[in-house]
Amino acid sequence: MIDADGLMLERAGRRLIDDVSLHLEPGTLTAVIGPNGAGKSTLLRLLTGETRPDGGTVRYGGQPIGAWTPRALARRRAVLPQASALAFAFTVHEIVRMGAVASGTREPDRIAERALGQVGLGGFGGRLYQHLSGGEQQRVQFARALAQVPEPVDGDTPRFLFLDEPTSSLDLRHQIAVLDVAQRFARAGGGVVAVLHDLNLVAEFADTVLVLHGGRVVADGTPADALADRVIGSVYGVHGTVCRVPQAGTPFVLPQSRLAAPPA
Amino acid sequence: MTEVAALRRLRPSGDRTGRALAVTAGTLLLALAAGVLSVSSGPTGVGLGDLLTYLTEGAAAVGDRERLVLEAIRLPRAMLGALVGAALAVSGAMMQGLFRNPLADPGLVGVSSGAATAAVVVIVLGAGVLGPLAALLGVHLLPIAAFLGALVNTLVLYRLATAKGRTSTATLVLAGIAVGALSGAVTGLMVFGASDAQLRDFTFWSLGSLGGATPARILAILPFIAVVFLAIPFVARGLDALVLGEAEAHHMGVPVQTLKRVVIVCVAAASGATVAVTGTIGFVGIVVPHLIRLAIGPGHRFLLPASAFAGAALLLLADTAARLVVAPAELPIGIVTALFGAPVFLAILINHRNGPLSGE
Repeated sequence: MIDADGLMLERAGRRLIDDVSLHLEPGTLTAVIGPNGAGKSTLLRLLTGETRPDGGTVRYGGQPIGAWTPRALARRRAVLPQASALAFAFTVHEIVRMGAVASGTREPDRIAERALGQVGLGGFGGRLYQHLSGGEQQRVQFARALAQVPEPVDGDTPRFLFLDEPTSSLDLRHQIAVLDVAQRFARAGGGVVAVLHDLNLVAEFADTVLVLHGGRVVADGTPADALADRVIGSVYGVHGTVCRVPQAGTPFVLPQSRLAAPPA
Repeated sequence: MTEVAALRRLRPSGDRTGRALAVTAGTLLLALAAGVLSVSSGPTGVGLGDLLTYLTEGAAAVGDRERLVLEAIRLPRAMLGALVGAALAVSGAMMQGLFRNPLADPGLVGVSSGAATAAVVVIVLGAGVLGPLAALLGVHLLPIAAFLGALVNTLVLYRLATAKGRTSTATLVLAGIAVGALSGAVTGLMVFGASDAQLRDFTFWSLGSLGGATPARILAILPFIAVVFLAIPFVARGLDALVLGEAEAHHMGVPVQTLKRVVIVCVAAASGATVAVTGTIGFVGIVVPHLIRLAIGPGHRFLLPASAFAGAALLLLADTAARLVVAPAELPIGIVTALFGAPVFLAILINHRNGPLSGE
């Protein structure tokens, strides 16, 4: 369980995160959405302990995040960062194994190979990371994060995955595949927090949606509630894009539909 | 054979542990062989036969002259060469890990200049203002001063060249030039005010030489170098994670700030100690880790020890060459290492410019 209370972060006189409180339940996939500069990645950095907030607290299992040693924290949550380049030529296996070692497992090789299989990169272990395409590199990093939390639940404590734009470099098939793995992680009792831009993927995979705008949470709830035209229109400044699947009522976003929208 | 095959199957593809172990063992053997070569060659005619007799039958079995050459000259020199070569290579590899840049080398980016400046200050002022300190610390004053000088420059360089956990090569090299120039200016000021005798000391030493090897000097730098070697197992995993980025290392449970402090102190200790006894010897710290990375990849668990052994071997061979080529005189070893080091450095630079560095 992760709780954040009254989070605030200021940089250069600007409030990047303004009074954000939230409660992350195990067993759910939480999508964080919002326009560029809304503070999504910043919020992720506060929740993972990478940045210390100027106000408010983050608690893991009731304990303030500052009380956790880096090593203990690494066994409770793993993080997929946005794209990163490497200065030295590690193999794919060596990179994923680093995550496995951080998990504290006694079988890092086996865990690393399993994680590579989960992201569809079985057999890529011997390749050099820097020779891979951007999308493949992103999936290697995802495998590294998975290897760091190899089981969604450790004893009776849930583990969390934080994914910062996990699908940004991926083709359609792999966007779905990666979120599928994330969703299964959540179904098995872990917690997932993902920053996503594709609202249709959010509608399909998220259990909860957190809408950030100007550093504040402006809406949260199920995709059906949060992905309302009223919310999307005011946050992104584009109205009339949210449609509903007939009968089921599931929202989907079709940018072209704004052109046909009746005048409000 | 079947056991080997079974092991192969167990090891997942992309795991280079087996090759890394073999290469590390190979570099150790190479260092031992270079040590034997170094001790058994020289212009005096004392050779391998004398060394073998000395080792197998005891010191009494060889003549007084042979014994003197081996015990008082060649053995200390070989030990110093091995220690210094290992320290140079390890401090280079650690610094490259810290800056996440294969071109970071204490000799190139001004760290050794800082050590040299502090050492020159001690040489020149040791007879005057720093007299009481010199009397108190004796042979330890020079290494301590060099360590502090290297530490200051490493800290300044890290602050200048690293922003948000990323180091740009251009900033690193340019900041290194600036830091080195400033240290050079202070060194120049000291030399300007030095006496003739001090000047001769300084010139000889600044070209880099293992000629000053005495057991006392070896003992004076041993603690610095020992600390760095002992730190290897504790920093290796953290340096690996740091290659992925500072935030990523933190996410994987590495106490990043502590790691960086420890590595900075290690780099300063190793390069400071070597500068204190041998002057500045360039390029070992960049060439050796680069070659080892090509062979076994950048994982620091094996890169650091293998670099240490290979650095020792390289410096012993360079010193042997420096002594033999123009015997009975000897070349400054810094010239020898620069002769093969500079081209390798250029090769890395070109590789780096044309794309990511290849590890295969």
